[in-house]
Formats: sequence, C-alpha cells, structure tokens
Amino acid sequence: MTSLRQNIDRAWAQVQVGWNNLVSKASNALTRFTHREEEKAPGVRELVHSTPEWGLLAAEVHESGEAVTVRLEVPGMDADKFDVEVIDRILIVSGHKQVRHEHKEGRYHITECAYGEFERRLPLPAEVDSSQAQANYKSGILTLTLPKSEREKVRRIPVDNG
Amino acid sequence: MTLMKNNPWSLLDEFNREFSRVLPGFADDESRVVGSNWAPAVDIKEEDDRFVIHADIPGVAAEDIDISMEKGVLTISGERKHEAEESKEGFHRIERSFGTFMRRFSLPENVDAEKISASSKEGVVELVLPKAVHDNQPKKITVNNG
Repeated sequence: MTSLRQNIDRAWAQVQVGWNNLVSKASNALTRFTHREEEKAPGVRELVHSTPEWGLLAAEVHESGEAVTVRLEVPGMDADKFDVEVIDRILIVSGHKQVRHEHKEGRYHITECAYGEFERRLPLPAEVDSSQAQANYKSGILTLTLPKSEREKVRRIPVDNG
Repeated sequence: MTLMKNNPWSLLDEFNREFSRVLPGFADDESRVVGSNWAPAVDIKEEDDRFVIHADIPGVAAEDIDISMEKGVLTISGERKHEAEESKEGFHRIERSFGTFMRRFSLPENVDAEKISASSKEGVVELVLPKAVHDNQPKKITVNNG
C-alpha cells in the first residue's frame, strides 16, 4: 500500500506541475470577447451564442536595444479593425473579430473560435515612442514595432571591456 | 475495487494519459493528438449539402499546412516556425506555441473526399467538404414477416 500512496502522490505532483505550467503560460492570454447587438441577428445568432466568450490571444514581447517588438496571434481579423494605443508603458490592443462565415442555414457541431470585441493589455518592458510605432498584420499575426523613447535609449550606457 | 485487482496502476496510467492529452489545450476531445505541440481551435458547421470547417492557424504559411484524408479521417497538421531570427535573449513574454500541430476528425460517410477544398486567409483555414450527391428520397425499409 505504501507504493500505491507514492504513486498517487507522484501523479498528483505531476498534475500540479502541469496545471501551474498551463496557468502561467495561458492565463494572461485568455481574453474576453463580448458580442455587439447586431451580431445577435438571425443567421449569425446561432454561432455567436454558442461560441466561447473567452479566447486565447497569445502574445510575445521582445526587447532589443532599439525597440520593443510585440506579436499577437489574432486570426481572422480585418487589418483596419484593430485599435492600438500605448498609455503609461502599457500597450492596449483592441478590436472586433467578425464572423466571416457565410450566413447560410446550418448546424454547428463544434464551436471553439471566439468572435466579438476584445481588448488585450500588455505591460511594456521599456518606455516607447508610440508616434514612431509600426504595425503590420499578416497571416493572423499582428506585429508591432515600438521604437524605444530617446530617454530610454540614453538610460542604458554600454560598458566596454578593457 | 475489482478494477485495481488486475493492474493497480491502470487507473493512474489512464489518468496521466488523459491529463497529458488535455494539457496542450482546454478541450478534451479525441481529435487533439498526443505528440504534437499544439492544436488549433475549430468551428465545424454542417449545411444541407456540405460541411464547412474553420481552423484558427495563425502564423503558419499555407504551404506548411498539410491536409489529408484517409479511411474517413481528416487530418490537419503542420508546423509553426518563428517569424524572425531573433536572439533567444530579450524575450519578456512568450505565450505562443511553436512546433508541430495536429487535429483529426472522423468524417461522416457521406463526405465526398475527392471534392474537399481548402483556402487560407489571415490565419484562418477554411475547408469545404461537399456531401456526396444524395437522393432526397427517404429510404423506406419494409419489415418482412418471418
């Protein structure tokens, strides 16, 4: 019976490690999607009602000497439906993901993709000059290149060896 | 506890297997395959004359997506590579998954495998699976008297 207990303990420890791993990786990416009134129209209604209200918008934040690069996975958007702003070193990306499917009679078997309005806030590792920011949307990935502010560039003084 | 009698660990094994299967995503259906790094989210719609599948696969070029059909099982698989050759250092946040992905679905027999088509736009792959031409006449089955 001792070994049974050990195995249960071990299995439980694995669950905890796995769960913590999952939470630390995904919980921030979990973003709420809300539906506008017009999406409750017939045809779209069936899908909109059954889609999840939470979707994963996975992000990646990279810092180099000159800029902060942010990549956000938001498949199925129109490039002009994004709204990007920086307030106090926080990047706010909001948008509206519309249902693109043809409005044809049918029955949904699986609905996992989220639709509607969303907002994702990401703290930035450095102060950026948002007037110089560049945005690009390609194959479902929004890439933002945010040059660091002059003050931030000056703040770091490289020390040479020797 | 008859289950434990033959193999005391079967329950734990099963539990572990289930857990590792579920871990890459939140859903718990069979279509997410062990061995791949991540699984895309999908919508599956059935219309009168076809099935339409939408899969969210952002950041993967169309040529890196494989769609195959074998013995009534549709497989969507491929690999996501990182966009830029950035140094491993300097990352403050990595939530994205890279590497291989796979998702499998058993299709109903009335799908015409020869006519499946796929297109990709802004990270969403759309698959259209026409149903085989069916006669709309309901089949009547007569029960014979023995």
